[in-house]
Amino acid sequence: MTSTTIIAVLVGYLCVLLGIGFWASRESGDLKGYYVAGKRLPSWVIAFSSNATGESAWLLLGLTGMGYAIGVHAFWVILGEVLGVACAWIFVARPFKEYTDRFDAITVPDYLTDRFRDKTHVFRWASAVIVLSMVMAYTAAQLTASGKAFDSFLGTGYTQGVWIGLGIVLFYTTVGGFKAVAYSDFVQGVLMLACLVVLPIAGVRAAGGFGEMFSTLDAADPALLRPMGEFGLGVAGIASASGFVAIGFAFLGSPQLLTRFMAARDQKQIVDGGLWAVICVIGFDVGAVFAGMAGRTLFPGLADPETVLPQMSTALFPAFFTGIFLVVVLAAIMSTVDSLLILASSAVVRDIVQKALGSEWSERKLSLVGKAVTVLMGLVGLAVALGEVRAIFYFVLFAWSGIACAFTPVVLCSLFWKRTTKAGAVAGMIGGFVVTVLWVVVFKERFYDLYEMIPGFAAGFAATIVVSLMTEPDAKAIAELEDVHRSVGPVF
Amino acid sequence: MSILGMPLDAWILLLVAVGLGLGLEVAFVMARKRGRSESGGDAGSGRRDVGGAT
Repeated sequence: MTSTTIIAVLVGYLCVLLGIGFWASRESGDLKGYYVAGKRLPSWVIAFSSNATGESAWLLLGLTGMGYAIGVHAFWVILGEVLGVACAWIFVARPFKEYTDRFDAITVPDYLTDRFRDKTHVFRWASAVIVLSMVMAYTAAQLTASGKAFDSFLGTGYTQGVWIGLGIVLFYTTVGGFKAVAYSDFVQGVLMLACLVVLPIAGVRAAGGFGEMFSTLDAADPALLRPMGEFGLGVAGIASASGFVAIGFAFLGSPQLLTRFMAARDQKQIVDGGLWAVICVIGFDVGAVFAGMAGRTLFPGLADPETVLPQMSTALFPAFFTGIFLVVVLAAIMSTVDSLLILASSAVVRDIVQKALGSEWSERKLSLVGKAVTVLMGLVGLAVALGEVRAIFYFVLFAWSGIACAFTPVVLCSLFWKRTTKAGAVAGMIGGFVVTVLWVVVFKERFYDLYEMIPGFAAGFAATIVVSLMTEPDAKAIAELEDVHRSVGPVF
Repeated sequence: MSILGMPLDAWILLLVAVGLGLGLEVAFVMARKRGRSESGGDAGSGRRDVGGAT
């Protein structure tokens, strides 16, 4: 009976996704329709879909697990993410939208190529290598989460769970393109927010209220209520807190998030959407951390803190809501995988096949190739997920920072520093990415486990600035940048 | 000192974590609304061909 109820909820949700795929399919016949939904998305869709894409299963399983394991020390994640989302919408979105509309750009490499008057396609090739390698790791991690979620909620078995998750995502992503991705992400974002509002309320109530919950946590481990956690105000504590804050840096310039700004109908949608996005991420993060802390009170001694959400949903709610919580975990997974697959597809088809190689195929044919590449990337992620079943969130955070460090420093410099040159941007992109990978592989363990986003960002900015100062900027590019900022107007 | 059982410094961190980004966003929205009402429309959404490489 319980399993039947859960399956009924799940089937209803999957039908909604398939319906969105069919509904959006009319606009996926050309590249602009397939990759940026014809640039016609409203504010509420870009707000929720950007957050749903940015957060993934890490929010529901990873951040609740952090609340469980380290208590209020996880508040530093909230600081970084809320600030990152707010600054992205306030400072980055409008000039980026203005630039990409002027150039009719539909990918971030499109934007960089035009911004720096590049004729060699170096940004396109570098982006393709970085995006494809990171998307593979990221997608595999999400599919691993899908397999575990299906297996733990329904007992499908891990392999079948991975196949089911990928099958659904591939269907609506290839049929409906970015429009289906954005609208399904909106639905998924709303579900995630509802879950993360309801779960901590039920959890705190079951724990006997805030006072009872905090006193239980204090008795279990006083470090759970300290902002600097078990480390205190030393180098290790500061490294840990700053690493958590740095998770939010990626919202400022990761291509899978910038695509939402490109796809907005106009700049008014960005102004209107920012507040929704900030409120949404506050609900996500505060809800996840408090749910984890309530879970620690209710279920002390879990072997894996990242299972606290399924534990709470099963124990505190009837079967129908357990089905909803399974749907929400899947929503978080799918809303990230669909966006990554579209991003990888655009890197291959738009940036390499159409622009770098100069293919003269029709838009319709390119769109079909884009769909085929989407399927291919999904299958590659599937192969990795079936072969390497472990450490979901290690891969997620690594891929999240790899993409962010390659693009964000360069995008920020290109939008706000007119002295930025093409050579500087290329150096920054490669430097940020390489240092991120090297930090994880060689240095991380020796330096208090400092999160790779910090050295990666530092290297990306340093390389961009130093090489730009050694080379001459393009006078037309400087005039263009000044005109963009005049056109966009002051921030406050 | 604690409020509802959680230490004051933890509350302050939570307040800053939520309030800093939210405050910036609210200030931005208010400034844009003021700017819109002063200029009678939204600025900066025009498309122009500037000879980019795409």
